Amino acid sequence: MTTHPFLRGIQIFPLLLPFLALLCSCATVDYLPPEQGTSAELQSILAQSLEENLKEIGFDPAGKTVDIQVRALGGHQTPLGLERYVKSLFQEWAVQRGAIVGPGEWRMEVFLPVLGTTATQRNLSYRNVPLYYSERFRASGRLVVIVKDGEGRTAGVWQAGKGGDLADIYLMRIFGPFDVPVGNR
Amino acid sequence: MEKRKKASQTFRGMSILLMILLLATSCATKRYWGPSMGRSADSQSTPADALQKALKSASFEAYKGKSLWIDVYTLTDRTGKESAEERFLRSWMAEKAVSQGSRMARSKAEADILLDVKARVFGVHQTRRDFIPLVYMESTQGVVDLHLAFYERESGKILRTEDLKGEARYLEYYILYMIGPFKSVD
Repeated sequence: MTTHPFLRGIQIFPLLLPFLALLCSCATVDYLPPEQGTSAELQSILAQSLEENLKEIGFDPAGKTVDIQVRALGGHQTPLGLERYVKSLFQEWAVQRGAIVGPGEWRMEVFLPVLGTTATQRNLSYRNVPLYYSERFRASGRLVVIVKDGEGRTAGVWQAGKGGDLADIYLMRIFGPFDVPVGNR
Repeated sequence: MEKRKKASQTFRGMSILLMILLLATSCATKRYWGPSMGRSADSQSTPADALQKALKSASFEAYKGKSLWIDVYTLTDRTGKESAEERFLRSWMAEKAVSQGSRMARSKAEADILLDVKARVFGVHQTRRDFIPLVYMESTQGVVDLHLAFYERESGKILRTEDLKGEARYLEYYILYMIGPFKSVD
């Protein structure tokens, strides 16, 4: 005896249900600026970017007394926090290389014209079926360091522009996140 | 007769399924609305827990009886000179140092040791997962990554550097959008 096509369709339906439920699922990395503050991931890639840029500075401060000044454009609402953080970073860098930090003969002007992040979302769906979802954070940093001697002459100029990258990938919006540092791909 | 009975059973099954589907379209979503509500409780508790974990291994025993001055630097948001995270972190570190026998100096000039704390990370990130209609999850992860540098104030030399890391996760999930929340902390 053959089964009626309508009944056969009904028998298949429960098998399809979990698949359909899976398709309309959703997973979102949610960052709500600025009320909840700069997210942990963004802070992490900004800090990494700064430390990488610092490695590019070719100045040898050993045995010198260096006065460090930092000027930044970035930072949320005010650049004060960013400037203080970078100054502390440079202070430790200089002292570790045998310098004394404070008013003195040498002057180090550190400019941070760019230090910020961008977030890109990618959604690949077919007929409202989400197949791939990714969120990519990219830190852009540009550091300019000008060193002047006791007579105010420029002893050197260094520029660095290393950024950071991090992508979260979800498949079908439920499997994941697979953290992928984009630079390591 | 047999056919009619089967059709009636199918109709009943379909009705139950329809009801489940109707239930499945309901939604339980925890939403945070700022800034009138301030920072959410999850966003406060997870970094605080992460900080406790990070500071578990921190030791100030080497500076017993000495006076300390603590400066904290973070990449967090602020409206003035010092952010909320910096104020909190400075006070917390001071308590930890005092409990291990150090003293807090009244000014930077009076301190024996200067402690610079750079917080590479002090914050949270949140992930929501929606597996309609079965599970809805919201995860808040607090992350703390500190770099400590101890300076001798007199000479300006670095005595010691230390990295401290801690993470805390808070997970809340709902089943069928109706049952829950089930909470887990780690």
